Amino acid sequence: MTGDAALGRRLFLGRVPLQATLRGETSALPAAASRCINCHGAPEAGTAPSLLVLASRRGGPAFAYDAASLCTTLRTGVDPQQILLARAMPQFQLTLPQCAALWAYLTQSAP
Amino acid sequence: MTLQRDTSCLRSALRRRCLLALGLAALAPMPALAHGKLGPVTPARPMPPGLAVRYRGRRTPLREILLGKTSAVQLMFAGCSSICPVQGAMFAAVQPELGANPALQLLSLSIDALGDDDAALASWLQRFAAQSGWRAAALASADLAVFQRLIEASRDEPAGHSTAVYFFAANASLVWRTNDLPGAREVAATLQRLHRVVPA
Repeated sequence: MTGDAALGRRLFLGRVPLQATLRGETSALPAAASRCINCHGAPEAGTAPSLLVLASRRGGPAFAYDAASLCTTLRTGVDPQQILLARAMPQFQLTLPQCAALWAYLTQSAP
Repeated sequence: MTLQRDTSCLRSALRRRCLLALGLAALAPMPALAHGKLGPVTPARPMPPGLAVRYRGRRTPLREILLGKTSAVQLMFAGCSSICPVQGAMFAAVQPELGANPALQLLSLSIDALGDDDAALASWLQRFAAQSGWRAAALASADLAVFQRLIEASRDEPAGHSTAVYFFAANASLVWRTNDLPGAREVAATLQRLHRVVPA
């Protein structure tokens, strides 16, 4: 699925709210508490190439993200090497178009 | 916890300490016990009398705010946009679990004495629809290190402060601490259980 990078940017910045919870919790976080930008800064287009690099993350075996694995990680809080993300990282209830949009925004080539 | 001046008070103090130990033991099945600095704090650590916060515009001993209520305390600062909104949301989710019990309270304790004036703290509470049992105060800069020693906080924490929750008995002694970012149900249940089993 080709993502809408413009939508991805709005999702990342919190201009379009994302549904999220903390691991093990049932109550949804307020939109202001689940914005990507709160913790991850504001990448400009194509400034998150590290997702595409084969690298060890969280001390686990090296891997590179693809669109599907990033989506699964954001939804489950578990990375492709089965390592739990920090509890502070919310688990997002993302649709496939939202996942694709975030992936497109984070990995698109800089203009 | 204060020094007692006569033997009857001493006996009373010992009894309270015994009850406190029993009370904390009663909480032992909680999972936090599996870790070194989590779960019960034994012996309980009394709040230093000189440790002060700014609360509603005046310098106030933190002990004064804690006395008489079982309290859950979180560290935060209003200008923190990373982890603090998540912490605030967690306390917001705790509130309805507590009902209107005046013996229980939530306290957001700012580590930013310069940035968090009364308006900022009021705004923090308002942002999360805080009710009367949830207060906010700011640790004076000089007292921050004292408080961090009391709770044995690590400085390697998100946003430079601990995201654990610290529980104080009604005598203003630290009696329990959680892991980082505990869930709302855990905080509410711990607060209620400590209120039941730890004598004031």
